[in-house]
Amino acid sequence: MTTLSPTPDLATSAPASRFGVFLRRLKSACQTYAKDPASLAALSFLLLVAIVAIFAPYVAPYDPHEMIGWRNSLPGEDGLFLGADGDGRDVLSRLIWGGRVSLLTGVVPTLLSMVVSLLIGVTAAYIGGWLDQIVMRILDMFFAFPIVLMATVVAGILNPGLFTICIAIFIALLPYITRLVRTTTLQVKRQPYIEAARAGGASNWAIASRYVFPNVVAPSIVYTTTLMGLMVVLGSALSFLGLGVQPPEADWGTMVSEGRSVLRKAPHVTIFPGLAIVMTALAFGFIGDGLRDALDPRARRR
Amino acid sequence: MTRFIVGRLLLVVPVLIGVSIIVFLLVQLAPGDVTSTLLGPMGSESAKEVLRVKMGLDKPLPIQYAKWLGQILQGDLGTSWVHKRPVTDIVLPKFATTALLAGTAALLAYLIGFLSGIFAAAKAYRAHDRVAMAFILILGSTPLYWLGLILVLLFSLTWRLLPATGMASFIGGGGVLDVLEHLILPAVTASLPSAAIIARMTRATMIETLSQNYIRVARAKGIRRGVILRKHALRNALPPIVTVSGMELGYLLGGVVFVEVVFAWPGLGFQLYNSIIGRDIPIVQGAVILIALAFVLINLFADVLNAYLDPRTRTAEGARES
Repeated sequence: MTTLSPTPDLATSAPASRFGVFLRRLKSACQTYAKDPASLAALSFLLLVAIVAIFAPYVAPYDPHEMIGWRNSLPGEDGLFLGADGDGRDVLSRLIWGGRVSLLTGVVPTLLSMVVSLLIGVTAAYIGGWLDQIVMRILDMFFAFPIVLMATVVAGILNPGLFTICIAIFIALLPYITRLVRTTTLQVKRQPYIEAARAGGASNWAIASRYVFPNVVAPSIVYTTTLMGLMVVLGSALSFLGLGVQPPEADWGTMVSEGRSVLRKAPHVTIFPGLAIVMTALAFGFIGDGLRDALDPRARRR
Repeated sequence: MTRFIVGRLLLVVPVLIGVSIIVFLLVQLAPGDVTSTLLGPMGSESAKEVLRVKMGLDKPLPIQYAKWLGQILQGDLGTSWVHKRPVTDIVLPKFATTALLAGTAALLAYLIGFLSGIFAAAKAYRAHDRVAMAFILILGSTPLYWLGLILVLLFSLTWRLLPATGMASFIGGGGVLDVLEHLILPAVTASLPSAAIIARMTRATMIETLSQNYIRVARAKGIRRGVILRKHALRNALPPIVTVSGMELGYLLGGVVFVEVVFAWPGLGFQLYNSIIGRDIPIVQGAVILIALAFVLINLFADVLNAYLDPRTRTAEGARES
């Protein structure tokens, strides 16, 4: 839409500094987030896990592939804090190295899925008409599969590996995030401030990029963060089935799977990686809740 | 009501066609040549070529798809590459075994989830509720396969109360009680995460319903709490719970793969896993189609149930929004 009116373009005129506004909003969001002790604790925990995983070569006390202690040493024995697994490898070191894979499968494909979903969802809902119809029908087809089944089959058909798990999660999530983005865009499109911008003469592109997009991104980030925790769980589950990283490479799911054969003698080999998955997934959930309060004041929890 | 059901049934048709397209295309993702999988590394090029023509793999994809769809519509899911038997003969009995597990798990999940959700909502924001919510949150983040192993560790290996794997004992097994005993651990494992989600949903919906004006009026009239909860609030809170419960039953059918692998439960999930590892594509396709079909039908049933419970959803639009 082009404007011929000589009146100042009120609705689209940028404030003195767009970046300044962004900073102010970011500050207010951070303040809201910091008020919730649970989300703050979760964020600290997750940062700690991430840092330890990233610096695994320096942090891990032993080589994760090497036989260090006796087979199935219990926690505390042999000077190994979390004991040794069925092959005498240090459980703590494997846990630290495994965190790399598990965090990666939780975060990267989920983020990618969000970006692609935002593109598809906003475009479909904003343009509407037949394009929206086609996208909706395709989504309906994907919703006929339980998400876990979808991911398992995609991962199962490709050659096992880290990349395969990422692809599987990316594909499985795409319809879910796209649906959220589409619904949110439709809601935002109906808001009075969009009408105001249109009346003020803003172009379609300006409305979509300045008004619709930012308002759709916030709920998408919240949803995606919550999904990351679930994807850490799902990714580890695919590894557990042997569809992910292959031994001797460590990953929390593979560690549980390896612990299975020594479950009676050395239950700690199974218990610790599982606890790591649960705590990481929980942390993502809490961060998602905190982000919701910080970014989306209307959906604030009671 | 009849119109709604017919309309909803008609909506299922394009979805099922979509399912078949996706399942067909998924297999095209498989790396490597199908014929070398079938003939092994020693198969000669000419033998591969003959097989390719025999299987119709030399034709363009749309034609392959049309032929495949035609077979499926006649109830022919193809022949297993590994077992050399019709896929339906293998997959259908396994489906029954899985249905037993998933059905039991779903019943447990509904019972636990529904009751604890209502209980938590009635005592919202008090100590009981907080503890229940924390528990629900943790369960929601727990990997199914790990939960299963922990339960095996406790109930089979440590306390020796229940069998850890299989569906029947080797010696003198197979009786109803024996199967039941083998069913407990996998069913409980599969049910807990779903129970957590249903509980959370029930609690949220009930709290919202209980804050409505008509509940306040009922309370002002002096109607007892229990009666308000049961007669006034519950019925209005039901539709979203029914929708989620339907979806959960479907997710159980998908997630049951992990439970079946952990407990060596001889169902469709375990079969799917073995076929994935063994690259037995026709069985993978058959199992996925069967699960997707069940998933679609369950959701359809949940929609119809909702239309019965809440007349407002009896339009196609209403069903979509709910």
